[in-house]
Amino acid sequence: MRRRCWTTSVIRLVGVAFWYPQWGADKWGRRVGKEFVGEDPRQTLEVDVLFVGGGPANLAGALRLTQLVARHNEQVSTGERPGRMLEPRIALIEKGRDVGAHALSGAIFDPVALEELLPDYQDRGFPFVQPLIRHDFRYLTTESSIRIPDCLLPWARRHGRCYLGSLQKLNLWLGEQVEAAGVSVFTETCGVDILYDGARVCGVHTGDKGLEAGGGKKPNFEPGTAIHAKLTVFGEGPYGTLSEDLIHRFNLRDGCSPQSYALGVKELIRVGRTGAPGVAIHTIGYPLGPRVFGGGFCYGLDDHHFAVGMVCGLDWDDPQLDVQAQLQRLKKHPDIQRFIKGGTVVAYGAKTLPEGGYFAVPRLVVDGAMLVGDSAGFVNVPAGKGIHYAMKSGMLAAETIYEALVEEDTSAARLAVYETRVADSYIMRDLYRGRHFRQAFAYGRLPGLLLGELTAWTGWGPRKPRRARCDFQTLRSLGEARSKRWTREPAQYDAGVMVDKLTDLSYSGTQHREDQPSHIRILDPVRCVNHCIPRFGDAPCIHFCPANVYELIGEGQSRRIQINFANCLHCKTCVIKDPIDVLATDHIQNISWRAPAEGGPRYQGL
Amino acid sequence: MKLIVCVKQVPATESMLAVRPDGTDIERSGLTFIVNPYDEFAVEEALRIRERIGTGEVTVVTLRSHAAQKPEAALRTCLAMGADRAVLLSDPAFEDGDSFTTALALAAALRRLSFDLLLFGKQAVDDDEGAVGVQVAELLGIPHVAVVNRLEVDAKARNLVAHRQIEGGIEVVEAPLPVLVTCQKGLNEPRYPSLPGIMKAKQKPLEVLACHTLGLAPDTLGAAGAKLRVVRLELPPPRPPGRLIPGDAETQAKELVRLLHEKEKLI
Repeated sequence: MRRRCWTTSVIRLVGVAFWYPQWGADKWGRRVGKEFVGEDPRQTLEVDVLFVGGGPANLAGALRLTQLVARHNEQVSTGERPGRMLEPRIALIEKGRDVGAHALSGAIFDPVALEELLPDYQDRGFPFVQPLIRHDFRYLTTESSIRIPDCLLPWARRHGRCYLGSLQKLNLWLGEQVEAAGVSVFTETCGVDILYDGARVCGVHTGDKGLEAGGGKKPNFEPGTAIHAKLTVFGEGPYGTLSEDLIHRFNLRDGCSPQSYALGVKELIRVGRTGAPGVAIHTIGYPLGPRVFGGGFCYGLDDHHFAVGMVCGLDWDDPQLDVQAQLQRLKKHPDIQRFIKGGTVVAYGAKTLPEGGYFAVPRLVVDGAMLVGDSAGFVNVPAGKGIHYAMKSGMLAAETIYEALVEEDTSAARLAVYETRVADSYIMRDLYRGRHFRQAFAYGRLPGLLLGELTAWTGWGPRKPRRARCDFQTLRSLGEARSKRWTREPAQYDAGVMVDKLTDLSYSGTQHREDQPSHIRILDPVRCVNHCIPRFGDAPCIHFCPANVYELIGEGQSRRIQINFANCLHCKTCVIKDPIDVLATDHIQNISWRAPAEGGPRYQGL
Repeated sequence: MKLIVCVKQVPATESMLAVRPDGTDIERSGLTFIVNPYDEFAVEEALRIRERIGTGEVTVVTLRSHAAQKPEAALRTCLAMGADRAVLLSDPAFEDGDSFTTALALAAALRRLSFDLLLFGKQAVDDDEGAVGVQVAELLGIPHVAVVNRLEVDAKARNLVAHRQIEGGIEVVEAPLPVLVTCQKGLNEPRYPSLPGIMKAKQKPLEVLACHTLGLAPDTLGAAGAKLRVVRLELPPPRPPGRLIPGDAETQAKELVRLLHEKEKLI
């Protein structure tokens, strides 16, 4: 083994330190936000409650808050309740072009939270119209498959009264409801920095638009706005830029397992003939090797559309695993082919999801801010569901915010009720029950399946977490990787339903101006060449990125990584899986991803 | 100075379009709609003219041409950019027409609103006809300058100088106000709506004009009055997959030359 020379390390560290401030003096690490100073030269917007991110958690939260305020005001006006009327200014910012443009899920949707939020949702144009009729869980071998009977499945895999549909459409619809309820929804507005007043969160700063690649201002430059809020709710989805800043600044993950993630890629396939509406198939086995946690799905969304996808836990060890290529192999399998044969791909997208479960849920509250949804990690892995947990968490946050507004107290101590509410709700009840499911798969697929299903079924198991590694620590060199049984055979592409990554990418509608500043940086490109490439044969980022953002160019000594940031799908895989931990602090990878003020995928129907 | 910009809401450019089973139109439900990019140049130019002169009013006008559209959103976007007024022509009688019936309705509405300068995008990126602007000018009996990529307005002398890109050169046109101009890419870089702008846009009212308020007969408009009938729509045939030639540079080059020479007969 090569011993590390300390002088080299110091030189590298100093190099990074010199380089970093060029990008923004206040961005050392990801933890330091902007200190709020009374005289901000930029334009400001004052609101009472700010929701950062337009996903199901925040949309449900914003809607719930307007409902509670309306009820409060009605009761005050009729004299049922003492006190004054509330008129909170509520705003929601979303970086996508529309609400839902960056949202992707399978999706099987359990309407339990929505029923509580909008009992009359069916009369309001609810977009999930296809009930789940038949569910199959299959173990795939290369050519055939075995159906695992429902009686062997744990409680969580039984999808009772669920719907199949598109999360993008759900969010768009919820966004319309939220806007009609009087919330100011700002799309194409991205929070880039948290504003602090001492240790208190007091809003976010939105990104500058109209910048040139070098950082200069174009003629249509539009500076960002400082949105000041009494209360800020972060629901940015998995690995939210600001949520992670907040978590690290306040050590909210102290005493938790590190969050682990999975990458899901999904295609929407249109077939000419009548499909199989209401059928949901989940698969394990082929094409993934036994050491990879994950599987495929195929949902019949309506008469002509299928959602086909592949989800892989990011703790795989094969440096060349490519989930998009695995999806193509899955689509070749006769069990999937019989549905999608002759179809065409009409949409593509990728997104990570948090899979750490119960033990990785951080503390949810700081002074002036709360975490909801995937940013907090509310995904029930054995059930493969998270949308209704996200919505419920947003609603619980809204109930707490409402009380805080009535009492005019937004301190962490007052907001801590939210943590208690989450702990007492079905969110944590379900997460606790499935707490060992994901961790059990660290022993491999078969032991994991047996152990995981058993613990999820019975709820047995230790109360303490198994020691878990961060996802970026698990890659092994090509020779040592154990997860490569089927993963080597090249995927076959054709003009129809089997598509390569770049063609797939064109179906995502992702767009970033080519002359905008790159939102992805490699902090120390030298380490890619000196560390990554010799160790893994080539750069793992060119394989794990589902959008071909990373490209290895040049020969021999002049090899380097080129970043095609315009391709980015905002899935966050790179920043989670990048094997180089620049400062050995567990959370500053060599790849740095900050949410861009402009651009991103434009998902339709995903 | 009164400036009016006519905008159209079009399906987002990255939309995956599908032809309706009867073959006469695309499937419009579930599409995302945006402001036609050429119309954004027109809005931006109107705002700049207003800013340069120091006074004036920018009005945006749109027409709901299909039931699935949400033209209110397009108008709000323009208001957020900085327009002062928004007028929506919405009536079932206007829907599913062609460029002529659209121009007819717009011209009737524009006659009611006074103006010094009319700005259009050079074409909408959905049907690419580029016909509405010039037809409106004809119906109103005013001059038009099409496909403009530079514009100088002299409010005192009440005329304008427009630069048009033509084959191999630039044509400079002078015209007296009132005049209609259609805008080409390169005219300007449209601004981003600011958050306070978006907030203000939500407060501004939208004026809605229907067929009867304009004094138009419904049977001359929309699908009933259209002079153009779509017989059939087809998607272009899928492109055959590309071929990757394996091997090192030398064998690749040899194989490429061989294929071009023997198979494609190009060299």
